[in-house]
Amino acid sequence: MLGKLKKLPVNRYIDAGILVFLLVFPLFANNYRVGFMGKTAAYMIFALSLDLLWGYTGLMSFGHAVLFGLGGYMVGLSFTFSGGVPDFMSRMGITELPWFASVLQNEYIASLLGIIIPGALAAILGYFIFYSKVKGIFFSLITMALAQIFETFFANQSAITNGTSGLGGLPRRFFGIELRVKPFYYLTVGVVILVYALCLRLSCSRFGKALTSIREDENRLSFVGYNPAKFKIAVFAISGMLAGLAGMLFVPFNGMISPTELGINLSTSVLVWIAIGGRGNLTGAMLGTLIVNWLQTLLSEFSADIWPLVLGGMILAVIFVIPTGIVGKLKELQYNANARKTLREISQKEELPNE
Amino acid sequence: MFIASQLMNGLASSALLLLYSLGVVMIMGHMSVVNMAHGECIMLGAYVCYYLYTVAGVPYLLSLMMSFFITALFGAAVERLIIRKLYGKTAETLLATYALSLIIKQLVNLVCGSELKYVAVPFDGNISVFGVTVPLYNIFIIVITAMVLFATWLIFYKTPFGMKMRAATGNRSMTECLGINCRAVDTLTFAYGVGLAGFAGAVLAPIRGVSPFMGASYVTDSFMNVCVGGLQSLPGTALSSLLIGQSTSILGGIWNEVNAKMLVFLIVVVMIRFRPDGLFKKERR
Amino acid sequence: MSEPLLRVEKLSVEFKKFKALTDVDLCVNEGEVRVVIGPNGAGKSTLMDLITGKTKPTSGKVYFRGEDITGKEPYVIAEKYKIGRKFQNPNIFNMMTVYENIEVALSGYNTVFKSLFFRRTPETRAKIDTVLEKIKLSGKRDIIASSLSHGERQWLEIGMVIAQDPALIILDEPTAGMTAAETYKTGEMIKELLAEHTVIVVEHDMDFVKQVAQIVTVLDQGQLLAEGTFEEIEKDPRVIQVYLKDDAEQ
Repeated sequence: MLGKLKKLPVNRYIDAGILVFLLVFPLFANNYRVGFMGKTAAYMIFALSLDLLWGYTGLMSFGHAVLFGLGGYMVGLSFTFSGGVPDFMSRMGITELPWFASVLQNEYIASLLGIIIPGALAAILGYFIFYSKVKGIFFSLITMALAQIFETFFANQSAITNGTSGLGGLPRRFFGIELRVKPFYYLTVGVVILVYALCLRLSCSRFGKALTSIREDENRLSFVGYNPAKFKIAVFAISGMLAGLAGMLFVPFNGMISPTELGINLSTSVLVWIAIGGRGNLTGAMLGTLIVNWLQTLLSEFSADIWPLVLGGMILAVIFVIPTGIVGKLKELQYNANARKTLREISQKEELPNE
Repeated sequence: MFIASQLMNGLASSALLLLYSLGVVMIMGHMSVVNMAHGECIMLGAYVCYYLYTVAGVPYLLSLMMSFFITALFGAAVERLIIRKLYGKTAETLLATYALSLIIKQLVNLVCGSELKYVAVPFDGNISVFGVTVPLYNIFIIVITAMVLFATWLIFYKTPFGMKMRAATGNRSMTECLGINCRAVDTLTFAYGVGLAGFAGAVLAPIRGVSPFMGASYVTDSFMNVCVGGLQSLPGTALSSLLIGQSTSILGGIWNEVNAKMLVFLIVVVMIRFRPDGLFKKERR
Repeated sequence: MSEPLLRVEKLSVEFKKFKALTDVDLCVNEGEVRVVIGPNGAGKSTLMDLITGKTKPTSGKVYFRGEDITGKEPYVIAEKYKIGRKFQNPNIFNMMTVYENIEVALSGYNTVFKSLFFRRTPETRAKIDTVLEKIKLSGKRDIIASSLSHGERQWLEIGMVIAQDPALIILDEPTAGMTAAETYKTGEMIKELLAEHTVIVVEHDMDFVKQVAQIVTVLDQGQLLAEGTFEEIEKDPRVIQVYLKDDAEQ
């Protein structure tokens, strides 16, 4: 009787479609396009990490790019310091590397820090925010301020970060592996698949159910015996680590990292990708990232001026026409069809005379 | 001497912070709407001032008032068309107002050009206060902010409209029952908040210049400020503006403004853990 | 006398100078079914809020198995001391399926670490099935909770409380707002619960109270008015007066 509902939800087919698309893409594209797709793949990891936090747990972070950018800066700084005092420093008359350079010069440690530091920052921030009595919108406001402040801070520390111009000339390396565009692309797609699997596992686990319950009604959950604050800190930290990982994969494709990569614009953009794709089902995060980024490149080649207007219009259209996003709408349609069927079967059964 | 001049600077920047935060107190505190386009509302006010005062030669004070009214009209339209349909949906409101900010920014950019436009400082000159030389315009900022704060307080607490507005935020369905038109109150409140942002933009224009992208830096500052002050409280926001403005100014004078902001942010995060209702929220009676 | 399961001592709470509850004492023994009645605004729900940690008392103590649990966080009271609560208005996770609602409530996996490594074993599945069977929602396990009827939502919440393996169950007006048929079905469900658990029920329906109650506690205006068997309470002039007044209003 319930076989229909147990069937795979529609979005899992889209997931498979996206992953296959990512895998075959380099067969039909030049290196420039593959590089662009690599950035998009890194963004997908980033969006998946935020979907855990926003889509599942209902915590709308407006500063997620800080965690992404910190991951990127760890590998960026690691490479910059590995060749001794970089040019931009010596131009400022600095002859000695800062004290933490020797740590970052070790590529493996820097790569690990690229995951650990964003996770730790999220956990510390989470401790203060989630154990407080403030709820809801405050999280968004504080993370917004975080993004703004980190962006100006990194732009301001020009003796280390080269200010707004950022760190350039970065190689395609990941945990000590240096690859050409296409192999590095496949490495990234491999990580996308791993992260997707991890997120899927998390969301289906009881942990994921607890997260959804927090989104639904945090107070009720505490009466069932959960401490919502701990769960929120945990998911923020996990999400932060994944965002850091995404940043580490983004930087090699981008070749550089600058303070805009940890600012409020990227933070808001990733929210928009998820909103358009549909939040709380992983698929929407990946699909939205793909669609918006592709549209942006296509339209920018045509006219750079028109993009913000198109994006703004798209956001408003999604909010007023399909508030659950593209994938959310598809899921609704599937669920409604199935639920109607099940309910009909139940009522038919009840109408039969008692056995 | 140095301290005194830093204090005077701090007072002026506190006043500015308060001026561009007042709209947020209205909209976030009383309607629970986070207007991501707040910065763009400031920017619109600044443009109105630029075109009226610098281009058309309208007297500055009149331009200021016009900035208020024109942006308020714009705010009313936005409330009617977008915000109204999204009450109670926080995430959607945030995204919709962000979309709005993208669109406004780009339209202004296309129509008016992206270059920074300068507005001549109206009350030019310096004045000596307790032996410190202070630009006259700083004094003007402090005075005008005090006046706007006072006017807002009057509207809030002394007029029938203010009462209706506070009633609407207190208990919506009850207020509706009393025959008060909450929808009209919402529109007016939002319009007033946006109008205040526009007014602030017009005051900012002579010192910071006018450009399509000028709004961004004010948004988070004003949000933080209102959080520290305790969302709905006018005196709280005034005090927190004073505190944040002075501390960034003093710390910035001896250290570095960005580091000072970072420090203030850290203090806010720690504070929220222990004083969630804002620093100055009175104990409930 | 041995220590009762739940002991409430001189519990008081004030909201902005309004005394919602004043010096209330209450003892509930293991295996007992206690009914709390009282007119609207008597402080019944407030008392339950204080026991489950939703509100912090101004003064007074709550002991559970002799341990002081006054003012502990709701999740500690729910997880460590196993006090389960059904709210007055059905309080369920609307956007999750019936099955998921029960699964989340299932006891023993409520820390971050345990929930990360929780797997659906045959035992947990069987347990969820038993609960679904008890609340008569087996057929609707994959339906999103928001599309259930009001009565079904009440049952689902009762199911969540059962899944918690509670040592003490607090039921706040379990039959409120139900149709006659639903009330009957609910009554049966609760009687089953009463046989196995210690329960505090807040209820209005006097027929129901008469059926299940061993001892009835009457609250009025935040104070303990009377306590005794249903027969004693029925004859108590003070109770009659309070209820007559209440009936007249209705």
